[in-house]
Amino acid sequence: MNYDGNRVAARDSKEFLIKPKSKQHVSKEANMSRIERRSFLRGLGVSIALPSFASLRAEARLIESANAKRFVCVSPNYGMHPSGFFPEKTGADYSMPALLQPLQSHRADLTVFSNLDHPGVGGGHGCSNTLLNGVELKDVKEQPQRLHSLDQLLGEKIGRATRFPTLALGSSGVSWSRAGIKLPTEANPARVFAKLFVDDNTKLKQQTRQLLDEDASILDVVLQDAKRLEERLAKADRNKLEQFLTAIREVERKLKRQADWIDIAKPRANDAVIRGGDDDDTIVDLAYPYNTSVMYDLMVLALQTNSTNVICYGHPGGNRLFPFDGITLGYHSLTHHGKRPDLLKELTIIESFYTTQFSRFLTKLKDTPDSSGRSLLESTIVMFGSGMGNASSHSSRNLPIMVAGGGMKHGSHHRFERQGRDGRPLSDLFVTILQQLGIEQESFATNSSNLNHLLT
Amino acid sequence: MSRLVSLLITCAWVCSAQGEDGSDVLEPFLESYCIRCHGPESQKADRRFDQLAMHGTELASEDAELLQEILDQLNLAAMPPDEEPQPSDEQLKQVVAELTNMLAKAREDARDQVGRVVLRRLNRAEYRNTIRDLFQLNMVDFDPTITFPTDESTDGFDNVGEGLVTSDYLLRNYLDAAHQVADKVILPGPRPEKIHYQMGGEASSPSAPEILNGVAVDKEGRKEAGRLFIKFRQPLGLPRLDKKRGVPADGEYVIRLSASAIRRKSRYKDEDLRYNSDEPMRLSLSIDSRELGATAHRIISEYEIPDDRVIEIEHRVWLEKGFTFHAHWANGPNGSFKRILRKVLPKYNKDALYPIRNPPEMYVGSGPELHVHTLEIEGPFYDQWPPAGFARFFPEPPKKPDAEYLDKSLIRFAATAFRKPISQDEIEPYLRLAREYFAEHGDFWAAAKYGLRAILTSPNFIYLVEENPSDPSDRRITEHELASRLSYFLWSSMPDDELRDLADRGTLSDAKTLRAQVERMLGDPKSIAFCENFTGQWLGLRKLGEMPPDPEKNPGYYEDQLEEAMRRETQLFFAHVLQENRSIMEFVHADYTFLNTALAGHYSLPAVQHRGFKKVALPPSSHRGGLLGHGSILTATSNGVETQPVVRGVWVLENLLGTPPNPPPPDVEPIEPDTRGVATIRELMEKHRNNATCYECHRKIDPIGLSLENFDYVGTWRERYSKKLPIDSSGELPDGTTIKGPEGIKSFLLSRPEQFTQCLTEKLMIYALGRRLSFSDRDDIDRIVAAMPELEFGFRELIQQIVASEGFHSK
Amino acid sequence: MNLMNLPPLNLALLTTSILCHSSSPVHADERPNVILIVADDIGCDWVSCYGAEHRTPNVDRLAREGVRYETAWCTPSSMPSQVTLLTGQYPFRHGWTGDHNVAQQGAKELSSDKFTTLARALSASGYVAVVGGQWQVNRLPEQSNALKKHGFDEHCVYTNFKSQKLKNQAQNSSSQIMTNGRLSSFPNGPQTINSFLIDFITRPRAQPFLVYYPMILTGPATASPRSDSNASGTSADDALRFAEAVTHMDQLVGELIDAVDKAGLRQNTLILFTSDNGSAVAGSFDGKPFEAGKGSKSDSGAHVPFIVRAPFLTEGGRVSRDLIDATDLYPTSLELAQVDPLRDRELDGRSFLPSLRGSEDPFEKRNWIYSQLGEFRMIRDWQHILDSDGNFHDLTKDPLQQSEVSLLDKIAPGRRQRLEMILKRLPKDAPVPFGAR
Repeated sequence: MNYDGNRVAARDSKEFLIKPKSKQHVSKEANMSRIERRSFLRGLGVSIALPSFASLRAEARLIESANAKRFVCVSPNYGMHPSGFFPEKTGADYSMPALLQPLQSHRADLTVFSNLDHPGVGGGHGCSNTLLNGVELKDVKEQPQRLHSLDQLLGEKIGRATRFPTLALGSSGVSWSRAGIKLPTEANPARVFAKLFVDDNTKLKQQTRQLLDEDASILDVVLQDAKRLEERLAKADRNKLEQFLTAIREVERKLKRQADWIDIAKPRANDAVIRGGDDDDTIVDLAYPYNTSVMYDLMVLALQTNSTNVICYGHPGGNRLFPFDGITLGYHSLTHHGKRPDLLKELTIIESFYTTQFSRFLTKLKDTPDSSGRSLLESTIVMFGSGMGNASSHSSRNLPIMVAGGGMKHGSHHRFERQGRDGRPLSDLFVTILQQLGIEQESFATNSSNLNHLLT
Repeated sequence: MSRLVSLLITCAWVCSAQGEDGSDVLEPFLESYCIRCHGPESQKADRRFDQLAMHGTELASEDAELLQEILDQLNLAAMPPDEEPQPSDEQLKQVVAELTNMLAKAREDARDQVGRVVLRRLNRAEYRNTIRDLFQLNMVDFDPTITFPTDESTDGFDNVGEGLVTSDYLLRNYLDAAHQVADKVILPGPRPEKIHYQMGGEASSPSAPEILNGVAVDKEGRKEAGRLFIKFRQPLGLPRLDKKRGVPADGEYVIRLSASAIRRKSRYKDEDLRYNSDEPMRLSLSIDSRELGATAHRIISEYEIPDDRVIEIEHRVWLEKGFTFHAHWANGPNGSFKRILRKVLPKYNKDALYPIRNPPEMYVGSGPELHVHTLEIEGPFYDQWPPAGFARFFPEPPKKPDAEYLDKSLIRFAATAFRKPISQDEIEPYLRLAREYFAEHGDFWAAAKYGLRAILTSPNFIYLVEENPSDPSDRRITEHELASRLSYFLWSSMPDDELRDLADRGTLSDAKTLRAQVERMLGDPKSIAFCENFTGQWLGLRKLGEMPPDPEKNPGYYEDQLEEAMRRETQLFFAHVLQENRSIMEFVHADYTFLNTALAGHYSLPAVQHRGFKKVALPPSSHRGGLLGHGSILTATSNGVETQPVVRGVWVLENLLGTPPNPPPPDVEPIEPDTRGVATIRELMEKHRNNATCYECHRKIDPIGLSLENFDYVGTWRERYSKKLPIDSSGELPDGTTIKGPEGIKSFLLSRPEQFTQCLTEKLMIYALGRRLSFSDRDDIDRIVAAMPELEFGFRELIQQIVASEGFHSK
Repeated sequence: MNLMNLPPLNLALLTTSILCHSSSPVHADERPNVILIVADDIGCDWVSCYGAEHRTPNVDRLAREGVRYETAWCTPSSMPSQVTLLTGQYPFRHGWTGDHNVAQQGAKELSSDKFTTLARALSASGYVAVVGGQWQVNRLPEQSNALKKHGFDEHCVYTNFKSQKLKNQAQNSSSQIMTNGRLSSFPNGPQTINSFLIDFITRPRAQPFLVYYPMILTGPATASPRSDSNASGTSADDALRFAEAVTHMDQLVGELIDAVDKAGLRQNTLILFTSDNGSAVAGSFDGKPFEAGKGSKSDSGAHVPFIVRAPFLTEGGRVSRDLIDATDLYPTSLELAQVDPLRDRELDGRSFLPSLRGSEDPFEKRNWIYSQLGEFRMIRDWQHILDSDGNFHDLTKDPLQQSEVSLLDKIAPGRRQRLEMILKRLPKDAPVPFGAR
């Protein structure tokens, strides 16, 4: 597998030749060896300490029954240049345009969609943030809860069996809490690593534990009170109160489990993934965009160690100058290419860097087994997409969306009809994803139905 | 026809008195007039009467429900359909008498099985208001319930016990909410330090931003410029406050600023600046929270800024810790400064180049500018410290508060929070919890918070507990339970001290007192909650905005904030009918409504000479009288693109007539909207109605829905769909009444006041009792409906009637 | 006091008094006096109110009481600047695009037939004008009446002016000074000239006056012998000597201001302090050494201090980022003196009175300034500079014009286009008034 890793890595590095500008005193060779090295390291050094207390297994069972257990969403802030992304032909034998080329080896595990978008979501930079909730803040002032995003919902449903219900990485934007608050993310690989694999200091543990203890003992008292009350109620009311009692037990269990997590040592992983090896020839560059592959590696580790079941990873926008060969302008400037071929060429370098990295990620997921022995890709729904369609017009129509893995039916490119301004609601896909993850839910955000017929 | 109805009702009373068993009257009647459509062969509307078990004393409740329906249909003369053979008046009398009789009996039997209030928890709004009143908190920007899941609504209302589930997720939220609340209200410390940040004027130089008027100026320059300039749509704030992540503590703050309007009219054309130089400049203040993000953004006030004259503005506002404020140029040039420099400037200055970003120095100083000379905030101020909500339960705390004081305080608190007297053994566990914590950590206030959190998580707080009386035959609720029912009905919140005292003294249930209290409560501003929550659900105002019209096609709808205006109109109208004890029939038709300028324009009525809303008399010709003319309802029943006659028809049947049609059979395709304008919605629906299954209900629904077609999807009046397509708003109701336009359906409703009264009464009952109605509530309802005519259908009276009703006082 | 030993004084008095009668209206003329101090070779990097380390208390005082302009341009070289100030025309128009010292190189002189100097324009309208300091655009003393022709009623100028060398002589021993036509040599020329001007200013008269004061930068008379001629001192020495000279200059300016104020002329007198080009010796800005701008084809060459005290227009105490161009002085003075510009004389500047009054309207102000040296031309706005060699820089980020403007800079390209458009309007050469040089 390591050799696989190696070869893939080698191929990758040829596909997108990151030639750092002379400023970075890193030669192309060092650069390639960095990538090889990193992919090589991935095999090593993960000692998975799966928590094994009963309550968790109970939780886990719920998920076992579902076809997929995990969800990962990768989202480039500025979308993808349409002509480079959307295939001409539909069906199984479509040919992959430039940006999809790096994903050739994953055709069979991949589905590409055309004309998916969020009805009612307007254009402008804001639309990037609507990817996972399908609504714009301005439209739901009255009920901010409607901003609740797919990943956060999943966190509540399938995230509870893990230490981190959800993991939000990279640049923020797509994750919205139930309260309608845009959630912060962690973009620094070192801190992500610490969060996942370095145990909290005892003081912090102490605080967390105390909070949980307090809630627990409150519930003890409340339970007594409820029991006492029960005797004084009419039959019908008792049944109703039963709900409450169940809820108490349920929460107690979950508090317990959360407390258990505190004592369970975090899984250990070789920090070479962020620090590089002992030998000097491996330089791990934690500066964006080089850290993209590092982030992906960390994501694989996080899933592999069951640290989380739900991950969102955002590629930042902004106008940074990518340190790649042939890049002369900032990212944002490039997205406003005005169809100028030279600029489009530069934009393509950046965007295919993303898809190439994404392809490597899929490969790793394929090569890594999960706790139940299936490949991670089998049990993980991986979605790649952006809330922005064509960045040069800030369009929120026809979003670039791919879905891979998760034991779903893949291999084709599906194009939907547009009714006037709108394509097929993206939330239809989300409903299918929810159901694939064992959550029987018929509706999400602005869905009209679902896409089960295409994916399952 | 209405003759027949009244005849039937009165006669129903007569007969129900005498109690001879007449199932031999009923069965043949059903046999000859009903079974053919509601029997073994066909079950129209899913009704089947041949299996009714009417013999024997015990009547199964579902059978009873069916019989009730039959009785209603007969009373309404809606059945048998006109085309079917009709029974004689004599037969009708007998049957109606018989049914009334049987049902009365059945209700007696059923009393203690059905029609009970199921233990119901506070819904989100009630929880929030209760916290507010418990601690006298300002809850405008503090909402511990924000993460609560939305409450299920049952029979159209979200305060119905049956539907209110308590999930572990919710309980988890209760724990967190309690935590937040405890931290917010337990304030033993000294009065928080005042802050006073300002900029502009002399004090400005250090803190003022580097950019003024888009020009970087140094200290002296700034003194000369002596101003901050709200750059079009960019908000202006105090950097220090923004840097400090908002105000240091909850409290009332004073925002002061001085501003002047410069060059309102300038050499630039309005259309170039996208700005209206004829109206005075307006400055608006918003409050924001970095933590909560845009969801917290709120405009708190707006001011007109005079030309070339400095105006001093002072605004007091309650700010939560961490909140900040900003000043905006409410009606400033629309669009970006960039645009002006690129597109506009070149038209006026030969040295400017199109379409590039020319130096801002070339523009600033020549166009309209809203100058802010000073900007400051000071606070927090408190009219009392410690705050009332804290002092209420922790009155003058001793230097070193002890366990005893802890107990006393928590008991004080629980007694209020539980809305009833509490027993020692009931509270003991909570006290122990806090005491032990105190003993262990020695931190009194932490212990107090801890106890508070526990009590706020108790079922006695979360649920409106109505304990089972020792004597099962007695179903009357206790005084305190009555107090709670009252306050959650009219205030959506807990009883206040006055109600509590009356309950403690056991005199609340006394008819006179009760009546007086209802009057008082309806007078209290808290009764807004009733107006908002009840209208929100009875009339479906909450649906307003779920399918908003397309901003492209309806810019005005958003610029004038019509949605809010419409909602406001209906609420004000409702509140007016309530406060003035007007006739509830005004809901069907009134010769007045409430409008602001924007809405008046929307209704093409003369503009309102008044800021904000105003009661407006409607010309006889107007179609706006009554709820059916309200934009809110007409918009809420459309899908933002076009009208939905079916939805409107159902809405009327359900909410005004109280005869909701059955949901469509699952296999029926919904109508495909067709906006190409070749076929009218009517034609499309006719196709639909030819289908027999559909016909049954749609003959009731469609005529009503179509009669409202003159109101488009945002409630504006129209005579035709397009040049080619005129609107036909006429139709025939199942009973043969032909109606045309909204007036048609209105006069139909006016012709049967008792039916509307019953409908509204039922809705109010559900809301007041927080439970589904059962046929056993019919006595109450019929009694009330019968009483209303003498009471001239006064809305307040109706409320009084409901509060006085049997059901309101029974478990 | 030292006026006493000035023989030509009485004669001067006489001449002026005659003039008065001849040209002044009966009633006292209320128009403001104008004093133009043009320091020699001093960039902002030597003036402390601009952030320079070197203290110039008197100039600073002027700044406190007046308006200090942060962005004012002359040309990078003395003579083009002088002529531009006098004629209100750009070098490509008046032809003095470089330093050719008439006195020495025997080039064509500044002919009064072809040029109407500021002095002549004003004195024609009843002003009394005086020049004190250097005059290198006519052959003196041969054309002894040149100054009169140019409109100066009186003068006190160096004759055989020999640049740096003579400055040193002026410093230590004596120098040839022509005072109202009479040649004589004085110890410590600068002081002499200053005193002469002070005497001129303080003399009572009914008409408003114009003082044109192109100073000569020299150390004080008490300068150490170290600083004598062809002393090829180290740059440190230069800096030291230069510093002394600046301090001396500042003292002279101080005396002048005091004289104006003591004479009760403060309210109605506009005093302008500027310089003819960038520093001859590098000064420094808050600790960081700057560069010697003089003669260099860059902002630092043309960027000069520009301070105006005009109590009758503004209470002052202001710093302005408005753009000021050397050609603006002429039209500004005309406006002050309520004189219409002559039809047949092209003026390239625009009056900065609105800016002085504190007007905010950019349409009343410049949005670019221009400078030239030989065929090299440059133009700038508040932030960017573009020159005829195609160099383009962001002066706020890069005052010494060392680095390219970033590719990512969204604004720069537009600014550049605009400056290019305007620069195109300004030819490197125009038909010069006196034929081919």
